[in-house]
Amino acid sequence: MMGHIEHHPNDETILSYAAGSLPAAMALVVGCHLQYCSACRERVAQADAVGGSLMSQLQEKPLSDGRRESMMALLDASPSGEASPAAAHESSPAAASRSELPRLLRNLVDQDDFDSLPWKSIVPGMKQVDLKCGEGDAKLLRIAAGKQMPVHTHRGHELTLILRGGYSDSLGKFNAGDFADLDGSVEHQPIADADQDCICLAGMDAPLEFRGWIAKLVQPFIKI
Amino acid sequence: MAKEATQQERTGAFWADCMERVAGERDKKSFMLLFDHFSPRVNAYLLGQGVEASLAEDLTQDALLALWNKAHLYKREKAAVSTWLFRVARNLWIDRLRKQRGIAYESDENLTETYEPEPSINADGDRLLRVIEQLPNNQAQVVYKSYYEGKSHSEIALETGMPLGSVKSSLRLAIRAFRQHFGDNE
Repeated sequence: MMGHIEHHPNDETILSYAAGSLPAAMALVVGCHLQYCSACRERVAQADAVGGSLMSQLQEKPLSDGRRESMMALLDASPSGEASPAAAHESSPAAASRSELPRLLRNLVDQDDFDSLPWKSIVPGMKQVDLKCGEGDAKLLRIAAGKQMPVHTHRGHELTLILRGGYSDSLGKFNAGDFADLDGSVEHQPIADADQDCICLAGMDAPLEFRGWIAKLVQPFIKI
Repeated sequence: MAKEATQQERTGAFWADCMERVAGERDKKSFMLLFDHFSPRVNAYLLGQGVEASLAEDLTQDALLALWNKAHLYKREKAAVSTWLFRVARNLWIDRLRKQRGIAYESDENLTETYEPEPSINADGDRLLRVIEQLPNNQAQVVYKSYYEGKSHSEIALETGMPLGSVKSSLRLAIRAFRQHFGDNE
């Protein structure tokens, strides 16, 4: 289904994903791309290695007295060897491989095909499904075959993964598996391929909550 | 041999040897060497992420216990022990403090089935450490805030007063330095 992948997340997006610091909606889009892209899995593995080295370098904070002994006791209590069975809500690999949806998305919406999702029309030729991810905005977009989206910029940093079909815009041709990593300055007008609907997963940062009175004071002057 | 190695000789290769003895022989001495070295660092990482002190110690034990229980899944050509432990620790604090983000990461079980060996990764984290130490201040700052405090780009911009674009470009430059370490020059 996924051909050669041409467009990938930016370096800083990969690093933040590995660090665990991307908001959930954006991290989800990266996580789904990884299923299809071994090159980016390797980039994340490298960023994980950076995290490991940084962790090794931290000023040590020893555990309290008694923790070492209780750790040793845990070793005897633990079954040796085999991995514990995956949690019940996780998709089994076999079931997930039959799904049209990327594994992580399938875990979230519990559906195996795009047509079964609760699509809602937003403008003629465009439908969407809002995804509940608790942090930031994530949604699935479905652009009708041959349809041109209105010119738009992005409110903030927006990540998009093409899941089916493809589109073209000023940045190039995007096919299934490709990843568009766009910040707020990019203006574009994607046109879906003529032969089939284009389905994308999009995630963006949530508006920041400002704590503290200094932050509240400066908030009106900061453009995010 | 493990017992003769001095503190200075304990490199990435030493810890990988320990992991193999844990996997192959269920060797508790090797495990406790790993525990004594890594637990204060994992604990420091979790505290940095804002995990409350006694919970951080519980999670540190959980992370090290995962090392013991899943040692048979460890492949030294794929990752340094510190990399492996970092992933486990990251997933643990996400699960406690930022549960929403859990949707974006594969479970450990899935990882072993779907992630093929990645031989170009140099599992020796020691040289990487030197790269990190040589980063300019602003790059080091954004890297630390990303990895240790779980801060998003816009949160870092707000906290440091750096423009968002500078946060991103500093991260990008830092990654370029890391990539040179991995021998992948574009």
